[in-house]
Amino acid sequence: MTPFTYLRADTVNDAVRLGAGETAAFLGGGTNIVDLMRETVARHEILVDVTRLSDAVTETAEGGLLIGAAATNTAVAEHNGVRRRYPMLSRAILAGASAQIRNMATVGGNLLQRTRCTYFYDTDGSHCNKRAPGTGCDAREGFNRIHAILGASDACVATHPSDMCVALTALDAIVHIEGRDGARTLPFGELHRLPGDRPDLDTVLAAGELITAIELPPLGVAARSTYRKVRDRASYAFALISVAAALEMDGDRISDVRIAFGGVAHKPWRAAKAEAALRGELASEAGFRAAAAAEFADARPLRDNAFKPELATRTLAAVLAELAKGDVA
Amino acid sequence: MSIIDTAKQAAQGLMQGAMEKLVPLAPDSWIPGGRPDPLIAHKHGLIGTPVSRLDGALKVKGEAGFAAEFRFDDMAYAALAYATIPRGRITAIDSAAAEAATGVVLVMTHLNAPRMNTPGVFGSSPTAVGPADLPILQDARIHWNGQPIACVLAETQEQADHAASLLRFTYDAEPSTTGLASAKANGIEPGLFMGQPLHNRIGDADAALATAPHVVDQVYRTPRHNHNPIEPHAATIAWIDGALVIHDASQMVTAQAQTIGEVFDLKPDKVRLTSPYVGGGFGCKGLWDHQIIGAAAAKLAGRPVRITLSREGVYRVVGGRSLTEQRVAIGATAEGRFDALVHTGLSIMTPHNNMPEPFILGTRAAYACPNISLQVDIARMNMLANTFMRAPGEAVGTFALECAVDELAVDLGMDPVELRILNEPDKDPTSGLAFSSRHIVEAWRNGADHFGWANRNPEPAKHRDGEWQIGMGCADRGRGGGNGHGDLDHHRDRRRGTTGSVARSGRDRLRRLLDPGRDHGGGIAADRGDRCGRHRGT
Amino acid sequence: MSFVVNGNAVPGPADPRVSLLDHLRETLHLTGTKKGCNQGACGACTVLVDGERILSCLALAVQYDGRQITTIEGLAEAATLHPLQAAFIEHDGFQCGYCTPGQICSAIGMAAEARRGVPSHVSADLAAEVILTRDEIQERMSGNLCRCGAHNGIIDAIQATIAPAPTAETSAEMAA
Repeated sequence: MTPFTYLRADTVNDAVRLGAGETAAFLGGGTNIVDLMRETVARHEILVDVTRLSDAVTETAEGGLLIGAAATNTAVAEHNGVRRRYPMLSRAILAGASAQIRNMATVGGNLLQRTRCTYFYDTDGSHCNKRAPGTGCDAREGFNRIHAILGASDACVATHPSDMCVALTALDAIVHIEGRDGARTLPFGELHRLPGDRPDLDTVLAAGELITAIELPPLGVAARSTYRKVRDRASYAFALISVAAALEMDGDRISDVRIAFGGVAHKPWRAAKAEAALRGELASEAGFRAAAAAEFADARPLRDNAFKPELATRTLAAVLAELAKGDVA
Repeated sequence: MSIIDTAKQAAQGLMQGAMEKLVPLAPDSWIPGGRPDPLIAHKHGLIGTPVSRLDGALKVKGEAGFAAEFRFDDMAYAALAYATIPRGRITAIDSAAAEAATGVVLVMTHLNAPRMNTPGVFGSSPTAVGPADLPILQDARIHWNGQPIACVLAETQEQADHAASLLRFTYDAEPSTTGLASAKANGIEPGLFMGQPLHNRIGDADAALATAPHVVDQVYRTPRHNHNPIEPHAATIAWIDGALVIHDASQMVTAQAQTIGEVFDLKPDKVRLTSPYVGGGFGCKGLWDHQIIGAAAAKLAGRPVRITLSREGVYRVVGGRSLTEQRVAIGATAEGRFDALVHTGLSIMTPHNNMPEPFILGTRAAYACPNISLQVDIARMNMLANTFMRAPGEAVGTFALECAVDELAVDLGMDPVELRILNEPDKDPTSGLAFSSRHIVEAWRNGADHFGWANRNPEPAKHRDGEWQIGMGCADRGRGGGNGHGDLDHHRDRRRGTTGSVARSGRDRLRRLLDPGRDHGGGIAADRGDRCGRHRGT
Repeated sequence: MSFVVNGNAVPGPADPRVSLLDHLRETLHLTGTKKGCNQGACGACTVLVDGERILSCLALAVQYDGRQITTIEGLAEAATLHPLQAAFIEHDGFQCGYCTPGQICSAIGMAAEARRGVPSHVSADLAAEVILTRDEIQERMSGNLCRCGAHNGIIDAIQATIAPAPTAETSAEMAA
C-alpha cells in the first residue's frame, strides 16, 4: 500500500475542502478501498474519512426517506421504514457481502465500489482500460463469467458489483451531492456510466464531489417488492444475475412495475423495456418471459456468460410470479 | 539380501517396493527397527469414544501459537516479488526505489543472496521434502510464473509490502509449455509415484474390452486444484549461535528440518524447527521456497525474519493438485460382471519435481475383474511444482472410475449400487492379497437403506421439489492397504509404535510426551496422549 | 488517537496503513485474532467494535479512535471460559483452530444482531422477530470460513449456547 495521509472530516464542508484534488479519495468503511490500495490498484495519497458525517435515516416531508451516506449497510437494511416500505432495498443489502462487511460498509462507499473483474485487479500484467487507460481489455477474450451482456463496449465488459444499487435504481432514488461548486442532486440512474471509450470513469462525479445522502421518494408500489440474487454459492458471493422488482396489481392486471437487473452491465440496469411491456398486461409466465426477451434482445453474451440472458429471464419470471401471488413480506 | 539390508537401502523407491512385499508377510517382530505395538491385540474400546481435544482451551482462547505468532527481538518483516513469465531469465532488476523506501533493511535477489545448496526434492531420498529440484535465488533463471525472485526486508510489514511493489524486473522470455496440448506434444513418460511405477496389468484388458457385450469408454478431465488452508504459509526465523531456528507450519517436521539444514550445510543438531500448531495442511504445509528465502534473508541481514505469504503468495509459491486427463473403459457381460477394466491417462508435473497425480490408486482394489490395465503417464509443464492434496490420486481417480461405473449401469439398465455389489472382489484384484478388512457391501446396504435408495426415481430430471431438481447418486472410495504412501506409514506406525516419540518421567511423576508430530486439526495431541496413556496404564 | 482493547486504553499506530488486525497482532501482541486472507473473504480476523462484529483486516486502525474493541482474548473471565468458548470445546467446533477466534467473535456479534431483530437473507418475513434456526445461523455465519470442515460442530455450539430464540439468560451471558 502506498503511504498516504489520513484526514478525518467532521463536517461536509471539511470533507469537500480536504477531498479536493486528484490524489485524494473519500474513505467510508474501507471495505473496498483498503483492498484496492493493498493490491496497488488504487494509489491515493490522501484519504478523507467521512464516516462521521450524517448516517441518519429520516423521514422526508414528501413521505420518503433520506439516508445519510455514512449509514452502514446493516443500519439501512434493518431500518423499519426501509423494511416495511422498500423491502427490495433491505433484501438487496442483506444479499450482499457478509454480516461483518455490512456492519462496516457505508451507503456512499457501496455506490462507489469498483468492479471485481479479475483483470482489473491484476496489476501483474493484465491489460485493463479501466485501471490503465489505453492498455486493452483482457476480459473480452478471457475469463468473463461475471461480465456484462448489456451496454458494454470494445473497451470494457466489466459489471457493477453492488446489490444495493440495483434496488436504488428500481426505486428511482435521488443522489445528494456536494462539491466545491455547491450542492446538487442527480437521479440515481444517471450516477453510474456505461463504459463507452472511458471505462476509467465509473460515475459522472467530478473530482472532489462527495455523496452526502440517498433519498428514496415515496413509492407505493415499493411496498410489494423483493430482490433475488442468483450466484455460484448460497451466500457471500457476487451475483451472476440479480433482479430487484416491485409490482402493483389491479385484479389480474399489472398496474405498475419496477424492474432492475444486476450482474448484466457496467451499471445497474433499469429494465425500462420490460416495464413498458408489462404495464397494463395480464400477469402470466409467458408475459414475464416476453418482457425479459424485449429487455435482452440486444444482449451480447461472451464466451463464459452465454447463460445470462436465459438465467435473467427465468429469474425475472420467478420474481414476478412470486410478487403477483402476494407472498412476499 | 536380508530384510535388514533391504531396510538400509537409501533410495526410497527401492525401500517402498520392498516394504510392500514385506509388510503383509512378515511377523511383527521382523519389521526393521521396531517392536510390535502391544495395543494391537487389545480390544480396549477407546477408539470412537468422544474425547474433548486437549488443546481445545488454547484454541478457543486464541492462545495456540501459529508460525507467524512467534516473535524475536529486532525482527524484520519480509515481502516477496514474483516472476510474471513462465520461463526465461531475469535480465535486469531495478531495485533503487525499493532500497530507498522508508524502513527498508535490504533487498535480496539472486545477485546478493547467500550461496545455498538446492533443496533435496521430495522422493530423492528418504528425508528429502524439497518442492522441486531447483536452486532458490541462486541464478537468473525463471521456471514458473509466480516464482519468488526477490525478498524485501523492512521494519514493518507495510513498509516491506510497499517496497516490494516498487521493484521492476526485465525478462528475456523463452518458449514455455503451459497448456495440456503442448505438454503432450513434448512427450509422454510413464509415471513413478514414490519410486514405484503407476502401472498394473492383469490379463489382457484390451482384448476383453473388444469382445465385451457392454462397454463404457470415456475420458474424464479434472483441473488443477489450488491449496488454500486458512492459515497462509508463514515462518519466523532466526540464526542463533550458528544454529537455525524456524518456527514454521509443517506436516513433516523432522524431514523438513533436515532438508532445510542441508540447504545451508547444517548438521541436524543445528536446525531447530518447531510447528506446534498448523492452521490446516491437507498436504501442502511442507517445504516451499519461502522458508529458505526467509532463512537466507535472515542470514544476510543478521536479523531474525518473519516471512508470511499473502493469499496471493500461496497461489504463487505453494503447489496444488495437478490436472489429470483420464480414460476409464469398462467392459461387462450381459449380467453386469466386469470383464475388462482400463484406467489410464495423463497427469502433469514440472521438469523439476516428481509427483504424478496417482489417480489409479483407488482403482487397484476397487472391483473384481480378470483383465485390468492401469497406467498413469506424465507430461511436463512449466508451472509451480505440484504436490500432495487431500487423498492424492484417489480423490480425482475415483471420480473418473465411479462416473464410468454409473454410466455402465445406465447402459446395462441396472441399479448402480447393485452393479457395484455384483463386482465386489473377494481379494485384492491387482495384488492378489487378502483384505485385512473390507465392509463396502455392508456400507452400501446400510447407506441404501438409510437414504431410501430403493424409492428413488432412477431417471434424471424427474424429481422436483419446488424450484429445485433433486437427484440421488452414489459412489465409493476404497483405500487399499499398502498401495499408498499414507497407508505404509500407518503400517509402519502400528508395528513400530508412535514414530520418534520420547516419553520422560519427572520426579513428580508427570509424564510428558515429546513428539515431533504436529497437529493440524486431526486431534493427534489427544490421540497420542490417549495411546501413551494406554501404553502406560495412565 | 487511541482506542480501548479488552478494557485497556492503547494508542493507535503512527502509520495509517496499519490495519486493526496488524495493530492487534504485531504491536499489541494479541495474536488470537488471525489473518486468513487479508482481503475480507474469510472472517478469521473478526473482532467486536462496540459490540458489533467487523473484519479487522479491512479496518484501518486509525479509523477506530475512541472505540471499544473486544478480541478473543477479552472474552474469558480470568479462568472461566465464555459460554460460547466452552460450547466450542464440548461440540468439537474446530480442528486446526485457526478460524476459531473469528468464529466465536462473529457468533457473539451475530447474537446481538439477532436480539436487535436484524433480518437476514433467508428470513421469510423481514419484519418478524428473529428465530435462530439452523438455516438462519448458517446464513448469518456465512462470512466465516472453516477449511477443516468443522461447520456442524460450530453450528451445534452456537445453537446450544444461543438457542433458537435468545432468552433473557443467554442474552445476559452473551452481553457479559
